[in-house]
Amino acid sequence: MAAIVSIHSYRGGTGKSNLTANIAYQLASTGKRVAVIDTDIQSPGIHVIFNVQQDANLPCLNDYLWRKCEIEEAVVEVDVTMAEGMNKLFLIPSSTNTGDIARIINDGYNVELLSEGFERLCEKLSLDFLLIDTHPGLNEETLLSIAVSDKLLVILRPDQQDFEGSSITLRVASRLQVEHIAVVINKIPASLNLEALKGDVESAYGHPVAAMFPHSDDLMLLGSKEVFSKRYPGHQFTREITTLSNYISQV
Amino acid sequence: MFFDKIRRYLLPVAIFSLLYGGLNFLLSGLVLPGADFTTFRPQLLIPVVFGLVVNPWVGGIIAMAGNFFGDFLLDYGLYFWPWSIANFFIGFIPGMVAWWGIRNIKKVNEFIMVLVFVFLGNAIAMFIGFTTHVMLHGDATLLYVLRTFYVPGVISNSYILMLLLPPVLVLLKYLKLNIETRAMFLFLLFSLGVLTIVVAAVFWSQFNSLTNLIANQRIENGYDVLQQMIAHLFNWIGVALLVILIAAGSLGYYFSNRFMKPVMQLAEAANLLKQGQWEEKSRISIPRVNDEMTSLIQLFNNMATEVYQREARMSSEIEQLKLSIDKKKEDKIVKEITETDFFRKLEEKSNKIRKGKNR
Repeated sequence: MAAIVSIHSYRGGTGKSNLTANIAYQLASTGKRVAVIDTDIQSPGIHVIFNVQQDANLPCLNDYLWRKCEIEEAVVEVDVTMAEGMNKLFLIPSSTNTGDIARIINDGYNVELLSEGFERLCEKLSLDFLLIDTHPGLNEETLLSIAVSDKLLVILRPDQQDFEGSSITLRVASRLQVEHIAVVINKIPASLNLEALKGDVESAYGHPVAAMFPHSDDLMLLGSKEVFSKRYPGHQFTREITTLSNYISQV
Repeated sequence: MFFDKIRRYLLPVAIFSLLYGGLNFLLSGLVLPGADFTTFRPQLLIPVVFGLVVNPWVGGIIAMAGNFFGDFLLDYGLYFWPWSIANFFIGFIPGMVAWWGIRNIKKVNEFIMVLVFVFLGNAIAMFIGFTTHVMLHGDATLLYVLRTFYVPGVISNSYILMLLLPPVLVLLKYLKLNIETRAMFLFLLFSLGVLTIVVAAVFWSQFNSLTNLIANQRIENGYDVLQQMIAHLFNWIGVALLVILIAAGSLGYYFSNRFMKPVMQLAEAANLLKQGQWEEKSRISIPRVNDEMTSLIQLFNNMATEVYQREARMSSEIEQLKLSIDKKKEDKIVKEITETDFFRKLEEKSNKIRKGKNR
C-alpha cells in the first residue's frame, strides 16, 4: 500500500522543494516506486530541479483540477539517469503559465479533487510513496494534503518565525491524526551546535527531528539546478538525505 | 661526552675532515699576493656549517682532524700542530649558539648572533694559533705577528664566511627566509659584493705601483712596505665589515619592526577572529608611522570589530529564538484554523481514512 508523505514548511524559502526532490531520488534509487506531486500551484518549482521542460500542450495538475483530464494523464516520467536497481520517478507538475496561476488563485478549485487524485495516483502507478510538495502556509489544499497523509515532514530553518509557524503546523497535524510526524531542520548556521538544537526542537515540539542540514551557499546554488544527491553521492548533505529517506521508508 | 656527540656522525666527520684537509692542501696557493699567511679559505665553511647545523663538537673535530690531514698532505707533518688545535675552535665556537637556544635563524638577532660567533671563532682560533706559534718558534715578536698576520687573517676569514655562509645556510634550511632575515641577507650579499669590487680595484692599483717601485729598486725593504700596505688595507676591510654587519642588522631590525611585527600581529589577530576569540582588546595598536601598513592595520581592526559585533548580535538572536514561542498567539491562530467548517469536515475525512487504513 502506498504511503502518502506531505512535505511542508510554514514559510517559503526553507528549501522544501529541494529536499523533496532529493528524498524522492533517494527513495527511487533504493527500488521504490515514487511520485512527486507539486501542489504548490501558486508558485511551482520542483520541476526545475528535476529538469522537466514544461510543454503547454501536455496536461498538468491544473488541467486535472479543472476536470480537463484524468490525474494519471498529467504524470511526467522524470528523466534521471537510472542507476542499477533504481525505480522510475514520476512527477505531476503544476502549470508555470502565469495565466493558469492567476486563474487558480482567482477562481479556486474543488479541493476535494486533490484527495481523489492522490488516491487514484497511488493506485494507477502502483506507488510505494507519493510525496506531496505543499504550498507554504496552511491554506485549504495544504490542510487537505496533511489530512490525507500517512506521514508529514515539517521543514524549518532555525529562526524565530519558522519556529513559531512550524509549531502551529504541528499542532494542526496532530489534530488531523497524522500517524508519523517528524521535523527537518534546514539551512542551519555553522555556528549552531547541532545536538543542542535538536534537543531544543524536540523538547519544544514533542516530535522527533529526522534530519538536520547545515547551511551552505554553494550547495544551495547547485541544489536548485539539479538533484544534488545524485550529482554528489559522497557529500555530507547526501548522507543526511539518505538518513531521511530511510526514516521515511521505515516508520 | 664529546664522543657521544660525534658517535652518530662518525662517517660524515671522517669524510668532511678529509675534504677540509684536502681543500687546505689544494687551496694553499690561494694566497693574497704578497701576504704569505693571509690565504682565502672557503673550506672554512665545512666546520662552521657542521658546528651550527649538527653540533659544536662535530664542527670542531672536523676542523682539527682536517687540518692535521692537510698539514700531512702539505708535508708539514706535525710541525704546525698548535694550528690544528686552534682550528678546532673555528668549528666549535659558532656551534655554541645552540647553547642559547639558537637551532636555526628566524630573526635578525639570531642572524647577528651567529655571524658574531663565527667571527669570534676565527678571532679566538687564530689568536691561539699565532700565540702558540710565536711561543714555540719565536721567529718574530708577538705584536708584529698580530698586527701583520693576525688581523688580516681574521678579517679575511670573517669576510669569506660572511659572504658564503648565509647562502649555504639558506640551502640547508638553517636560515629561514622571512621579511627581516631576507632583508638582512640580501643587504649582506649586496654590500659584501660591492666591498669585494672596491677592495679588488684598490688592491690591484696599489699592488701594481708598489711592485713596480720594488722592481725598480726605488724603495728599500719593499717586502715590509707591501706587508704594511696589506695590513692597512685589511684594517679598512675590517672596518667596512663591521659597518656592513651593523647596517645589515639595523636593516633587519627595521624590517622586523616595520613589517614583520605587524604582519605577525595581523596573522595572530586573524587567527583569533577565526576561532571566535577576538575581543576589543585584541585590536592591534596603530604604529606612529603613517603608511600602507598602518592603513591595513586600521582596516583589519575595523573589520574585526564589525565581525565581532555582528557575531555578538547573531548569537543573542539565536539565544532569543530558543526562548520564545508565544503560546497565547499560537493558541489563537490554531483556533482560527481548526474552528472552520472546512476543518471539521477535514477531521471527519481524515478519521475515516485512518480507520479505513487500520482495517
